[in-house]
Amino acid sequence: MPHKRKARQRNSKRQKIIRRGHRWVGYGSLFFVVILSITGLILNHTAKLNLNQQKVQGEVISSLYNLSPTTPPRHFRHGKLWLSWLEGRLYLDGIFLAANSEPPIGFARQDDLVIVGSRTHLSLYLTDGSVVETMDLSSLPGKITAFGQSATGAVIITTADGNYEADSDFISWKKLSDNITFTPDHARKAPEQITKKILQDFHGQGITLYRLILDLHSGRILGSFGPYLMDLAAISLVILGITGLIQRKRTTKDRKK
Amino acid sequence: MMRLPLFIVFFLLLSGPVLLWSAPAPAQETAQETAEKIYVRAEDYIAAALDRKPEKPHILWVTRDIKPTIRMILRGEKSPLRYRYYRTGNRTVWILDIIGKTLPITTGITIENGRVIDMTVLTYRESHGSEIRYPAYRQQFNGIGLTEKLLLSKPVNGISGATLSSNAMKKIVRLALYLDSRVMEKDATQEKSQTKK
Repeated sequence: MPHKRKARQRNSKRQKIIRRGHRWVGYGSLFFVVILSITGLILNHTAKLNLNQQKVQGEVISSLYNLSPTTPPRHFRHGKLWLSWLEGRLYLDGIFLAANSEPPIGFARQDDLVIVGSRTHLSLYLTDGSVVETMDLSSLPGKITAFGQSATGAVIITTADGNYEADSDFISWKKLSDNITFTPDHARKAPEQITKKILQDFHGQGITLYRLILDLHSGRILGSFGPYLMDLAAISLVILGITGLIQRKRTTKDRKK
Repeated sequence: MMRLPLFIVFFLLLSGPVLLWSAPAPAQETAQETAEKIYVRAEDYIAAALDRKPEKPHILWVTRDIKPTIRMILRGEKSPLRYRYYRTGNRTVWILDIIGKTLPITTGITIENGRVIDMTVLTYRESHGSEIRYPAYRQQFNGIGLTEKLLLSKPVNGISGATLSSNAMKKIVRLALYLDSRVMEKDATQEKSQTKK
């Protein structure tokens, strides 16, 4: 009989430890498990929720993600107007114009139309930022090596094959004779306020909501230790499951007794 | 009962310094490598689709009457003010860009008599999801048209791991079919007015 009592005491002690462990592991991981579950649920519906198209901006995000350009901006001037490019982002007079843009080699303006030439693309924008068209090499006479405007204001591009002039609608290109000269556009140093403006925009551009939620889910938002914390939260779920099952088994056994 | 909230506060306080200490890491750790891959040059695609070197392209302006439909098809994504296309008879060739995840995918779409006869991924820029270029996926679009509700006439199976890219492909094919229908409609009305004269 004393043997049985001792075994029962040992069992109840073990049960107590398991119950306490279950409780404290539960408390400790609650916060991270909630984040893990909610973000997991959201990530499962990335396309439906359009997470990649939504941006999260703000000073906290920009300092957290260290959103600084790795290359210096490029600036081009046309009269009083400045076109700037910074890591895929185009700016007209410091105001954001377009994203995913190639580094320009020159720009021109015809009334409300802003024409930006890069090596393989020619893009037409309105001054309000609307994209009229982006032409690739299939619509150009060749890779652009220089870009400028004639005295009459027509856009001239230089390709390996020679100089070409665009028609007024930018639909066809006329080859110019070799003796025609024009001054190709080139990058210039912009006024301090323009550089300041575009850097400000670049810092504040934010990240996609998908990236933020993914980083919350993986724990990367907490830095290099974050993923380990999330690993612990995931492991704690396994522990909670096992200890929960053990406790359940014990209580049903006790009830039967 | 007081233990739980106390413990949560304790844990948040504990994780705070960790957050401040190691914050700037995510930008480097999750940075995506972007590599532009050109599978087919647009000019080669157009020439192959038309069986000859293209002449002057045609332009379809996004007028007020078609803008809302285009916006609906692209689900709010901004569209340019005009689309360029190439044409021979009832066959139209469109080179269109659409955002997959964050970067544009350049696609060539050939349509004849309101049905897609070819869809090819010309340039892919994202790091994941380029599986949409494989024939097994692309060929699902062959023979596809638009229903009255401007939906694709056949279901298209997506690719796991390339969900966003395959959704983008469905959108762009819908757009090309719609633009083609507008071109043909315009032709029909012009023909009618000419016969009346």
